[in-house]
Parts: sequence; C-alpha cells; structure tokens
Amino acid sequence: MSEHCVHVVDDDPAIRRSLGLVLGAHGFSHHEYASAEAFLSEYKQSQPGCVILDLRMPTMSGEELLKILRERRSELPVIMLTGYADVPVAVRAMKLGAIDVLQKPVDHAVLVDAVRRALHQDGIRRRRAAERDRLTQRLEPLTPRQREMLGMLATGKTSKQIALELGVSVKTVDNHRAELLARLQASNVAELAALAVRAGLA
Amino acid sequence: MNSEVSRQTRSHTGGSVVVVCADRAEGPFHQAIRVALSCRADAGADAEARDADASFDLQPAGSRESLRDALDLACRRTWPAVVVADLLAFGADAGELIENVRERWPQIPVIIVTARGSEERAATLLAAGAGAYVINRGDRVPELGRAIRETLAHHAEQLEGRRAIAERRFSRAHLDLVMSAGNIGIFDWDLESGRVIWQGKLEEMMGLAPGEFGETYESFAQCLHPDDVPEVERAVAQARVTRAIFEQEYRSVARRTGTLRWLVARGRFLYGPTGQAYRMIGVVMDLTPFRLAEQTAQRQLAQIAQLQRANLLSLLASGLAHELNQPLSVIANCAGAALQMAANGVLPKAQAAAIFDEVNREAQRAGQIIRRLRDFIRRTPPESMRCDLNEVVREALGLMAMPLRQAGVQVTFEPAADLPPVLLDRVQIQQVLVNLIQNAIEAMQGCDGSRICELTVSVARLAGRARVRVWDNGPGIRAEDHDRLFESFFSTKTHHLGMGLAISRSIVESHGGCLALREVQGMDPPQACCSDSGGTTFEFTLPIYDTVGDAEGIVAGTTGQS
Repeated sequence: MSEHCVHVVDDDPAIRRSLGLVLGAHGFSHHEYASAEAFLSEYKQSQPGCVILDLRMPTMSGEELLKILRERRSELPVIMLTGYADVPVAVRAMKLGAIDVLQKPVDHAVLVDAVRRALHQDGIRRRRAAERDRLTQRLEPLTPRQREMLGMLATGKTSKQIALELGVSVKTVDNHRAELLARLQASNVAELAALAVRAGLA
Repeated sequence: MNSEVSRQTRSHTGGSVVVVCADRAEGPFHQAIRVALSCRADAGADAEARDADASFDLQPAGSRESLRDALDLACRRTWPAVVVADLLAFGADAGELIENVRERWPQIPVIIVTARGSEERAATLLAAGAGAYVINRGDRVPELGRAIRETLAHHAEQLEGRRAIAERRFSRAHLDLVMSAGNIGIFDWDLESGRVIWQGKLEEMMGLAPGEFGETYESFAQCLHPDDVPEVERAVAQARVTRAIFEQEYRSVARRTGTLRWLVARGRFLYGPTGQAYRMIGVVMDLTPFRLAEQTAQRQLAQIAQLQRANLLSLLASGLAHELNQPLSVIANCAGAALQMAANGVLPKAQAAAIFDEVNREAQRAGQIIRRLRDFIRRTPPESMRCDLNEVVREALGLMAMPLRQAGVQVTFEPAADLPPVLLDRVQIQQVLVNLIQNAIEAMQGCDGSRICELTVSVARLAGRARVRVWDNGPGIRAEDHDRLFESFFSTKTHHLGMGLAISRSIVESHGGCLALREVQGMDPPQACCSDSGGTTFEFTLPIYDTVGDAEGIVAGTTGQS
C-alpha cells in the first residue's frame, strides 16, 4: 500500500491533522493540502492514490476541484466530505464521479472503508490504463487504414461489407486482414476483435 | 429745597387728589386747589416742566360713599393719591374722617385744609394721622400746592417701595414656580462654615424628606449613587482649581425607597480678593423624566433589535450547525485514530497526549461557537461597556464565518492599530455587522461566477471616532434605491423583511454614531446602477472617549444606559 497516497484537501488545519491521524493509524500514507489550488499545483497524476476533499472551501470549492480534475481527464477517485446533508450537492458530486459523499463528522471505519474502496478502484483503473498503454504500443505501427479496418472487423463485419463501405475490393480487405493478424500476432479474427475492444478502438 | 421738590414732583406725574368738602360738585374749594396745583412753587418753571407735572386727577367726594369709591379706585390703580379735606365741611368730625381713612386705606395720606388755623387743632389732627395741616389763605396758595405735591410724591415713593417688595416677592414666586415646574433646585455652599443651603425641590430630588438634609457636603454625598461619588468629587475639585463652570451629571438614591433619580448640576465657585474660593453656588436639574424616556426608547430598540436577531438566527443557525461540524469532525477523527492505534497495540504516550490535546481544544471551540450564538440571541437589557472594537468585529466575522464560507467569499479584515476602548453594547454592534455582512453576501451572490467574491471589513481611528467599513465587490446598489435603503420594510429582496438596515441605523445612532452608505465618488448614476461599479461600502462611526477630559461623556453614557 505504501506507494499509494491519500491526498487530504481541507482549509481547516485541525481537520487535516485529525484526518492524517486516522489515515496514519490505518497505515495509509497521506499528504495534506490547505486549498484546492495547492493540491492542483502539487499533485502528480502518476502517483496512485485518492483524494479526501472538503466540499466547502473558500476560493475554490471541492466541487470545482472535481470538475477541473475531470476536465484534465484525471480519474483519481475522490471522496467528498460535506458538513450537512445537501442532497443536490451530493448528487452533483456523484455525477462528477466522486466515489463517495460522506457527511461530517464521519465515522472513522466508514472513512477508512471508503478510502480502501477508492484505492482499490484506483488500482484497477491504473492496471487497465497500463494494459491499454501496452496495447496502444502494439497498435502503434498500424497505418490509419489498418486501424480503421481493425475497428470494423471487431464489430463483426464481413470482408464484403467492409469492402463495400470503404469502396475497395474484397481482395484488398483480405490482404489487410492477413497483414493485421501477422503484425498483432493474433491467430484469428476473434482475437483481433478482443484486442480492438481492449484498446478502445471498437 | 424748592428745586428738590420740583424734581420729586416732576418724577411722579401727579396722582389722584380726592377733594373732600361740603360742595358736591366743583365749588370754591376745588377752585382753590386747582389754583394751588397750577401755581408752581418755583414760579419761573417753563411750560414744558408744567406739562410734565400735569396729570392731577381731582375727585370730588361730597359723601362717605363717593370718598370710599374714590379711594378704592385709587388703591386699585396703585396710583399715588391724597385726600384733601376741607376742615370747614367736617368741623368736629374731621378726626373721625382721618381715622376712617387711615383704618381702611392706611397708605393714603390726608391733608387737612382750614381757613383759620389753630395750633391745638393742628396738633390733634396731625396726631390722628393727618399728613399735613395747611392754612388756606390767599398768600398761602403755593404752600397748599407744595403740600399736595410733596405728599403725593411721598406716597408715590411709598408705593414704589411697595412695588419693589411686591416685585421681589413676585420674582421669588416665579423662581419657586420655575424650580417646582422645571424640577430645578438651587444650592449655595458656604465654604467657610461648610453650610450648604438648598432651595427648591432639591431635597425631594435628592431623595430626602423635607428638612432631612443635613446642610453639609457630606450629607449631600450620602444621597449620591455610590458609583458617582468619585466623579462628583473630582469634578468639584477640578472646577475649584480651574475656576471653570462646574457641570456634572449624577444619580441620587432615595434612602428609604432606593428610587434612582438622574440629576445634572451646574454651578461655579466664587473667589475672594485673595483668590480663595469662599462659596459655591449653582442649580440642579432633574433629568429623570428624560433619562427614563431615553431608557424606554433604548428598551424598545433593544426589543426590536432582539426580534431582528431572532430573525437572523435562522441564517446563523444553519451556519452554526455547519460550523459545529468542524470541531465535532476533528473529535470523531481523533477518537477513531486513537481507537485504531489502541487496536494496533501502538499508542505512544506523546501521541496519545497530542490526540487528547486536540480533542480538548476542539471541544472548547465547539463550546465557543455555541456561546457566541447564545450571546447573540440573549434577552438581556442592553449594556454599554468599554470594548475593543477590533475584537467585536472579529467576533462578528466569526459568527458569519460559515455563511461567508458557504458563499465562497474571501474575507479581509483590517483592524485598527492603537484603538482605545469604545463604549458600546457588544451584541448590538455585532448585530449591525451581521446585517451588513449578510447584505454583502447576498449582494455578491447576485454577481455571476466569473469573479471572486471579496469582502473587506476595516476598522479605523478618526478624530474622536472609530469607523468601521464593510466593503463588498458585488454589483452595488441602484442609485434610485439609495434614499430608501434605511427605511423599514424596504428590501430589494423578495424574501426579506427589510428591517436589517433600519434597525442597524437605530442601533448605531443610539450609540451616538451614524451609519451610512458610502457613495462611490466620481461615478455618474447610470454607471453606478448595477454595472461593474466599485461594489458597496457601508460605514458606521462610534464616538471614542479615551482621555480624562472626555470622562464626563463616559459617565453620561454609562448612567444613561444602566
């Protein structure tokens, strides 16, 4: 777990300290930020972890920070802490992808459970991302036309349909298919299709 | 002698000459008197002098009735009068006439005129009270005239003297009336004997029964509210040394009932040739009705202010609930951490101490939050105390911390350096600040999210005043609303009662200050209207009493409040 970092963003120093105590007691390493801005400037996307975020903060609120993270295509799991049951805010936070909205004061067991789930999700997400990266590397050498064709094959289209759509001969399509099987070291079209789906081409 | 008489007669313009004789109408006796009066002793007097002496009013009195009527009339007119009686007409009854007149109209002199003089007769009648005894003969005419003039002049002087006495009596009555109607008393302190004399309602005003005053300064001081004794002593000593007018407000406490009265004394010391003060005189006015009216007004304002605070409570309570969550969260987190550490079997002493220290601190913080709110809505009479205005503003910002945080407002607080204590009611001034801050928050919520909402609260010291400014960078207030801002029930917001600013202004004014919207300078109304103006600035001032020289102000303020 030690490579994970729990980022605590709260403008109240006492809250930050006490959250740090809880996380420390449960063996999580953590880092504290006094504002959303400080977090945005210091946080490194490459580091696995999750964020515990106070919803209400002066200047930039937790909700705004969440929006910015999503705009930056960061999928860092976010646990939102809120002072009181504000349903619309909770709904908006969940829609923005917060994995949990917890009401203060939060039971430490509930918090730790949420952190575990968040880190677990972050792990899965990162493994998936890593795999996608590997696939992307494998797909790198393909020409744009080959990539297009791979996507079409993955959706289960026949050579004839593809030829008709792309306005080329069936023979050309077959040639490309053979080329794809060879390049990606796949034994059949089903395998190609699975690759394409995992790489996000289909 | 002659010129002296002439001066006297000239200074008194005649009078009534009641002519008593046998003739019912104008007869020879009248004629004789007319001649006598028109014939001046100083024969060379000019016409002007004669005119000045002119008005002699000859009243014929042929009967007792007409004599009575004539003399009654003369008395009513407080007009010099003389009875000139012809001895011939009365003969033996002359003595009785004189006695009658002297009995009934003791001030009016009687001159007896006779054609044939007799020393014994004259002696008898003069003894009976006649003013003069004149022989009426041709060669004695000027003498008769002079006798009448002199007697009239003498009577006029008597009347003048009586009038002066009456006037003194009248002015004394005036003074008594003023003293009683205006609740005013006079004191006169003879420093040599130590005796203090009180006049008017002073005993009543000082809470004493009539005759109870011991006529000493100590006896006076015993009637004072104990808190006011040192101030009075200081002011008396100061007036004595500086020779300035003494003016001091103090309270008296009735010995038996404990009733408080508010009085103001104004007076001065008198100094002898050696420069030594020997006497102090002055007046004391009863301010109780005014003070009570002020107190009633204060009480009413306090009640309205209390109601408005209750109205603000809903606003503050949601913030408070939120704010309380902070310390509670910290406490819960600390407990959770400690539990986990204990479960892990690792809870070092230093760590445990740090955790419980944090718990303790946060519990105190929660307590303070609740206390602050409880103070804010408490139902106690207003009380003015010397407060650190910076601290009062800081507390108000604390009360509004959550609403400000929720609205995402960036707060800047600029306290005043070197600010002396300000006499104020902490809760009421905080209420003013809460109202202003709440208005600012709502104004800024009206602006689009494109800019950061900023609130700056500053305290500054001006000459004799402290000033608090609340500035927000919201859209500003429409120029056409400026005049109506402080009206009750005026609000630009649909869900508002519109009492906040009206009550705030009343509160500030009851503190001797003023609250106003600060107009943005150099901005035309169309631009100022809801555009990207300089936001809104409200400011209020409070008087500062910081030196000994201003101590009276503080005492007055304190007594007015308590």
